[in-house]
Amino acid sequence: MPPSTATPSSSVTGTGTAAVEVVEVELAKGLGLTEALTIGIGTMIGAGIFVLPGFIIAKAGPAAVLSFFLGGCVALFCAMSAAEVATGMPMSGGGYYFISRALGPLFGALIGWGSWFGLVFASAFYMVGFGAYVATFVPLPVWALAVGMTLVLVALNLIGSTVAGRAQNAIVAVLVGALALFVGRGLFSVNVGLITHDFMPFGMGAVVGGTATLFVTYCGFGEIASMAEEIRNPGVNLPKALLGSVISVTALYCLVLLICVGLRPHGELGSSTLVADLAQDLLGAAGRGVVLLGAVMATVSSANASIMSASRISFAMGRDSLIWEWLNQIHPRFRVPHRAILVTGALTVAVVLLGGIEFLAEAAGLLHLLLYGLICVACIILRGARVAAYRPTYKVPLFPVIPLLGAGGCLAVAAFMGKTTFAAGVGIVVFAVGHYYAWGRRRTTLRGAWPHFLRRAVLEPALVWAERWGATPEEPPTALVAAGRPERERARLALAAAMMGPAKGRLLAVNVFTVRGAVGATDDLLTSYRETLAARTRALEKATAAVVPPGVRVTSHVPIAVSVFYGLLSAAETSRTALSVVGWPEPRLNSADPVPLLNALDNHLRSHLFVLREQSPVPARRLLVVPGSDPSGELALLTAARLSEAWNAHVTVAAVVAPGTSERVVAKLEADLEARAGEVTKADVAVLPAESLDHLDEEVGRHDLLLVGVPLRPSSRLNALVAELGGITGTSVLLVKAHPDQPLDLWR
Amino acid sequence: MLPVDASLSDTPTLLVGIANPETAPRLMNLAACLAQQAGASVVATHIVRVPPQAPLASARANPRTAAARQLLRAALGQCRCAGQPARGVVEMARQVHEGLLSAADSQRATLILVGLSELDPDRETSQRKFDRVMHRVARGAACPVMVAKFRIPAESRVLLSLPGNPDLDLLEWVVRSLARRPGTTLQFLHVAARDAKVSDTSSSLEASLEQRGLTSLGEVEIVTGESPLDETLNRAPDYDLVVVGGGASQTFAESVFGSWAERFTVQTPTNVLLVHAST
Repeated sequence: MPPSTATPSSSVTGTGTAAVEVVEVELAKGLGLTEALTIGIGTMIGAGIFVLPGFIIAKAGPAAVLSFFLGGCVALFCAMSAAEVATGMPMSGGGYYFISRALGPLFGALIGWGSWFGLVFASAFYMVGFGAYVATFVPLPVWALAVGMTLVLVALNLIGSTVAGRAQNAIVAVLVGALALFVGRGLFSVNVGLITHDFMPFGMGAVVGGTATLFVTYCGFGEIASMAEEIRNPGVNLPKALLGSVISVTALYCLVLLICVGLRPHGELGSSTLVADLAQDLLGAAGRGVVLLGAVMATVSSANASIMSASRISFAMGRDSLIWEWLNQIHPRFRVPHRAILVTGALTVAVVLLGGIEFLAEAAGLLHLLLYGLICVACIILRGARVAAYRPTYKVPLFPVIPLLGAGGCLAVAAFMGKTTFAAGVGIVVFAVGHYYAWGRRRTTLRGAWPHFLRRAVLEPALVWAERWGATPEEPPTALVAAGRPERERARLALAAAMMGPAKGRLLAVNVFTVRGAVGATDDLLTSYRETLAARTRALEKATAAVVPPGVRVTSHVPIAVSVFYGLLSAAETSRTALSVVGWPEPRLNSADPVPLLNALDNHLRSHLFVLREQSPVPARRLLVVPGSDPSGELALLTAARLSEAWNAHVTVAAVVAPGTSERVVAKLEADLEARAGEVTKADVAVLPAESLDHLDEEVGRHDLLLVGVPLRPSSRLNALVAELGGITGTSVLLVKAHPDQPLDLWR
Repeated sequence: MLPVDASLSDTPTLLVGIANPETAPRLMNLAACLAQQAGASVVATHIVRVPPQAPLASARANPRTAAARQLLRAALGQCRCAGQPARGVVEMARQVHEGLLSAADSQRATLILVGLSELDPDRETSQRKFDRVMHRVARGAACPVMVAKFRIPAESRVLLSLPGNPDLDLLEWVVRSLARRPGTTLQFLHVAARDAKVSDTSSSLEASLEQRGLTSLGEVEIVTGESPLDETLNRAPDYDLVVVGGGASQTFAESVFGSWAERFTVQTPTNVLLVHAST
């Protein structure tokens, strides 16, 4: 059975016996390219294109087209960066998730709150736009219509309604149809002279200022990234949907603006219902009706999407303990986070009543610019940090130029926001940072990848640069492979090569030539030694050619010693081995201690110790890791990450609990395992109820290699595990024991 | 026998959608029977719907997910009793059909087997629109889909309606699976058009069944009539289980009103196994 490849899953088995009933949990991938594109386009084409053109033309003149184009370019650069990070980490939570994983919990809290408020401002903006349009045919104040519709949407979301979501396809069709009709008819009536004459009357500053106001019309593509874990084949569909939606919407906006400024002199184009007014000129009352219908539907659909997204961000923050868990409680009947929705609704109503439409647009735009700019930064950090959990299938071209352009563009546009908007933005930032230090910092265990970025993308290149200028290069790390038995050499060599390859290390294959007692240098002995040396070198060359990738240096060493232990110890000490790979001890019938050599190595080697029992082909394709909790556990996870990368293997990280453990404890363990595994590699997660490891026959049988982290204390645990796991058949077993004096950094 | 893409999967996988604890044991028994015939593995799945306001992963700690696990464990126990090992997957999805299709994709299913809830034959819409979820699954799946409807306890007398069964490989698999059950009697039924030559139809049909060695498993009855629906409905009360085929392609009328096989499933008083070839 092939494992589920894309989503993390958990599993719980019924008993620890052979008749195990495995029940896994998976997240469905229900969105294809069309659905993802529809979500992006539907969320972006909201009130903005119907409400804002009048404001922007009044601000920038005919060059308002350029404002929209600039906004599209910034959005495109950000969308490219978002596509990379979303394919590298296809999880719910969108921008918050990527930024918190790259920049740590402080920025996570900042952007979590920022995104939430950004969506509140955006919802309020859409609702005010809704009110402005509906007020043209319903004699009610704009604010009353906006508040009324907000309450309706909150109510629909509270009962878990999917009406608005299911109508998304129809709404997008009407929207794009209405705008295409407007553009198609308008192209024949455009007066080019109106566009070219006095194209930029208020200068470039006004153009960029216009972009600052209108950027809210591009908010929405991030919604695709936040649904990444629900998208089928995200490596292909996510970038296509993100870039496709931004490009198509930008083209549509620019065409609409070209028609607007080509129909009347820009001094007559200041209305908030400009597109509908012009549609009346071009298409008559029916055209105005279609545009009004499109505008009303667009505002409702965009506001609904924003309210839904806000509750999901709250969830993602709650998962990282950066927000009160109280807020994310699920309603038992409707299964929605009712408190988060209510808070979002209340804030939206308050903001509708407080702010004007231009302020709302700018505030939403500012907070989204902050979000998108930091996504670009996250893209640079995550790629530079080279963490195992980040493996994008789409990579931004011209890296890091595009992410830098995206981040710089966001910063430049944000600089043109109004003072009131800035004050609101600063207020939200102060609140978010204050809340983090007062509440979240003590609770969260989240860590960002930025230290890895600093070390791998900044410090290490700097050291390399320094070395070129005269510093003494360090010796490459060495892995010792006990290579006494030809039938086991290949597996151990393959394992050591996979571990040392990325560290540019070398393998030392050691075969001890034992001499018993005090003997002189007899000719027979020396001849035998030379023959052994030649045979071992030939065997090693043969084994190396089969399993060791080019670039990993392998050296044969045949020390003469009175016992295998002393031979291995002297080789390890001389070469300052970082890792020793030995074979599984054979049981000895006439000895109280069945594993004296392993005991001696465990007690005296000053390197990490791997004990391998090969029972299935290597390289293994399916790895089951039971890491434990101390440094050995961390080393086991790091080993799994290395092997997964080198062998393209699927990793399942598991914890074993006593049968009957409560669901709450199991859920917590799953979350902990996910967090630990996520730090180093992509892995499924499983919590397995069983009395002990050797009772997991069926689960172990589904994998090629079982990796077990051996706790440092008590020291007898290694022996116990050798005895415990000796009965496993059909699956290779690797015991991983870290040495406290050896750093783990080499394997990160 | 079972259509398997060897490049994708080592062994064929039968995905069973479990929703109703009352019919789950029979569905798992049927799945075990089909799986044993083809040497397939069985994966039982239950879909937990998550509203769009909450992330999918939020449902992990949901009481419904715990209940779904219990449901699946019971179903897996049933399958194991029938001598077939099985696994379970709780799929969290926005829509049921999305969940089933996603599970089929991730498990690389070679067949989807689902049960059908009781439809109200008095409701006009039920007769016209067979079942929206099943329609979407059948159209979206990259593998064949079987829909089982259980109404009566017995399943020993089986009628296999040949028209509408376009995939003979699939039919053969079902026939051989059902024939493995002790005490099962099989009868093939073909409804030919009134103006067709029965002898010609009979010889060509028997030849193709003979070629697959199926004639030894049951008798072949060929009748002439206007409508396969009416002819099959007339004979259905004499049997415990009727196997009907649903074609991969549909006319516009069929997509609106449902195929005759779907209408048969709604109207007949017996158990039904609707076999839908892959699109």
